[in-house]
Amino acid sequence: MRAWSFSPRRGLALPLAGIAVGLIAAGAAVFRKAPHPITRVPEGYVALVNQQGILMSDFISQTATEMEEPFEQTTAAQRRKVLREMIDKELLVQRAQLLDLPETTIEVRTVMAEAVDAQAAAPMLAQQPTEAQLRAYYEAHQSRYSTEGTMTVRNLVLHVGGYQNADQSVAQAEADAVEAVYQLRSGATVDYVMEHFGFVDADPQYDTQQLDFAAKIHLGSKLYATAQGMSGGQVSDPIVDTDGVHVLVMQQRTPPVPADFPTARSQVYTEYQQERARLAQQRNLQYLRRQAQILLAAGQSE
Amino acid sequence: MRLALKCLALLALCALAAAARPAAAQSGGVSYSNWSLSGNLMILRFLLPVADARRLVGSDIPIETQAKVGDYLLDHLAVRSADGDCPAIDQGFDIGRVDPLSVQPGMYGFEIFFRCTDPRGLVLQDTALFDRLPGEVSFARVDLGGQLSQQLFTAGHEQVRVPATRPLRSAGIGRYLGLGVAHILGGLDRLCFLLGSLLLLRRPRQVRHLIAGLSLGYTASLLIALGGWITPRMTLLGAFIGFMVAFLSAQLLTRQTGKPRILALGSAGLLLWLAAVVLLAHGNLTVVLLAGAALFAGCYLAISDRFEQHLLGCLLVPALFGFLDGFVLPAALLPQPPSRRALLPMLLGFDVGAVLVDALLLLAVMGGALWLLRWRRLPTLKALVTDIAAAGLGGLGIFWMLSRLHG
Repeated sequence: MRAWSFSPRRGLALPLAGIAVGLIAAGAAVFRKAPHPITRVPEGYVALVNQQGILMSDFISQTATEMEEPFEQTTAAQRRKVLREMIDKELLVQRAQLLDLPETTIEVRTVMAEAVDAQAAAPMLAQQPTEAQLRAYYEAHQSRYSTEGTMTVRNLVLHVGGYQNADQSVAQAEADAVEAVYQLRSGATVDYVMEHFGFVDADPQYDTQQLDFAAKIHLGSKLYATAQGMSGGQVSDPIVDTDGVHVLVMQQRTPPVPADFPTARSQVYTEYQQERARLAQQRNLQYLRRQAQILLAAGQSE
Repeated sequence: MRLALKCLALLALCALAAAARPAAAQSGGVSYSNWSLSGNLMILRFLLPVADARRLVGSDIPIETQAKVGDYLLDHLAVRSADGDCPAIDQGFDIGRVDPLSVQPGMYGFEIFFRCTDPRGLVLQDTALFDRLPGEVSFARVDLGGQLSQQLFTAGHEQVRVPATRPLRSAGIGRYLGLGVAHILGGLDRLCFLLGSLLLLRRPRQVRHLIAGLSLGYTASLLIALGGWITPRMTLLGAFIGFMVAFLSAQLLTRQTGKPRILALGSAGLLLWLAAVVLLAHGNLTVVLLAGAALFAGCYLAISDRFEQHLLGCLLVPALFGFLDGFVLPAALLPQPPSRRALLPMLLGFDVGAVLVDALLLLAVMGGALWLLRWRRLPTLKALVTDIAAAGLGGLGIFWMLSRLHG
């Protein structure tokens, strides 16, 4: 067996290899593959706009929606038109991102916030509620489910404070109104009482039959609160409001009737899902707040 | 005597370290502008690295920095036409005259619209940052209705005039040559490497090997950058240049002590220890870089006495330096890449400028050294210079390498 002996050539070869390997390793760390722009539209995409892809599936559905016919039946000219519109939109979206519109434009912020809310709610809404859940919800919120009531009401008012008004003070008007109510309940006609005491019809245009929600708008919440509890032929007590003293004469009243579960199911379903969406959005916001660092200026609170 | 030398070396190291900038692999800041004429509107988009913006306004708060930089740019960017100044217009939507853009990470972007009543005889002016950041360079792309050109704004060249009768030409090769010269002269690490390399020459004539090696390196980087195959990670490239400066120190010490194996093991051991520390902290490419550098340094120093007598040994280190330094401009151009056709004169000018100034500097120092040969006390001076250089290069190189790896 020949003894290993030092050779100048062998002595250099190994360190030289080491130098090469060392440089290659360092080079691999220092350099990386240069990013190359994509020059060919990848499969599944219909176009690339500044390296951002427009999906073929989006193009197909957009064409079908816009042309109101299946994609296969659309003409080449129609497809070109839609594609041009989609490219224009992509350019505008990219420009919006560059201009940081989500941070600066209220409309964009609103749309984005709504989109995030919708995304947060989507997993929850994807689960269909059971009948038991819907019924439990119905029973917990039964007061919400009823048929819409109607009323025909005359809203008489005795204005106070004006030079043309018969009564110059609220107390005087209230006293007259008490007397007028007494006479109405005793069988006097509305026209007679109006003429005798100086009442005017506050809303003559709404003296016809109207749904409860419309009456609430026209009467205002204070008068409506009294009106909804009245029955046909009833005369209210005098009600003092900002513009004078009112007397309501209920000429016809059909009160709302509670709806049973089968009748109200559709509304229950909608409201149940809305409730769940709200819950999901609240949880999402709670999570975002936990993750966020929020600083308030001195003296501010939320 | 040796104690005095060590003290001097330490003082020199401290002085150099105080002058050294830790994390910058480039000699100055870089900004980017895109001037695009649309009708009578000149749309200017300006990009500025976050670090430079912070240095400019002295604030770390992004919204504050953005607002201040926007105002600063409005004062330092202008367009004039034959009809007079083209004012920056209010862009509506409460934006004002400077619109902050959402651009790539690490950059601030701004957009300004200049409206000219008559867009002829245009003069584009960029005086931003030159007074505040020494060595600042602004790469500009000018699009005049589809006519593209590459321009370069630097201190002293702050205007571009659009000729009335012919298309606007891109900045000439001479501008980039000047950029290459300024890059070498403005970079302390580059100067340290060049001057340190001179101390390793055994004979004055070997300076041609040094120049040839540098030229080879720059040429190789030019060809590869033009091919567009690879691109550098600038922090690691800067760190490796720091390593190369420190490596010169190891070579000098090897030469001085005549103990290549100890120096080889010491250098490689130090780098491997650093790699292990990095691996424990956060394993990444830095480990590969340090391990590769350890292998290179260990193997090179172990055979340096024989290897440096071969041509390859003479060329390798300067070529490596030139190769790495040649990638500085391609990397700087990445945020606003020019076409390959426009890239050639830019890189050629930059590399030729760098090689020219390298060669002139080396020859000048060599000439000075030869003149000093006549001095009787030269051996003492040489020992002093070598000791200071070894200490200074080693300390600075490691400082640059570590600060860039960290930063």
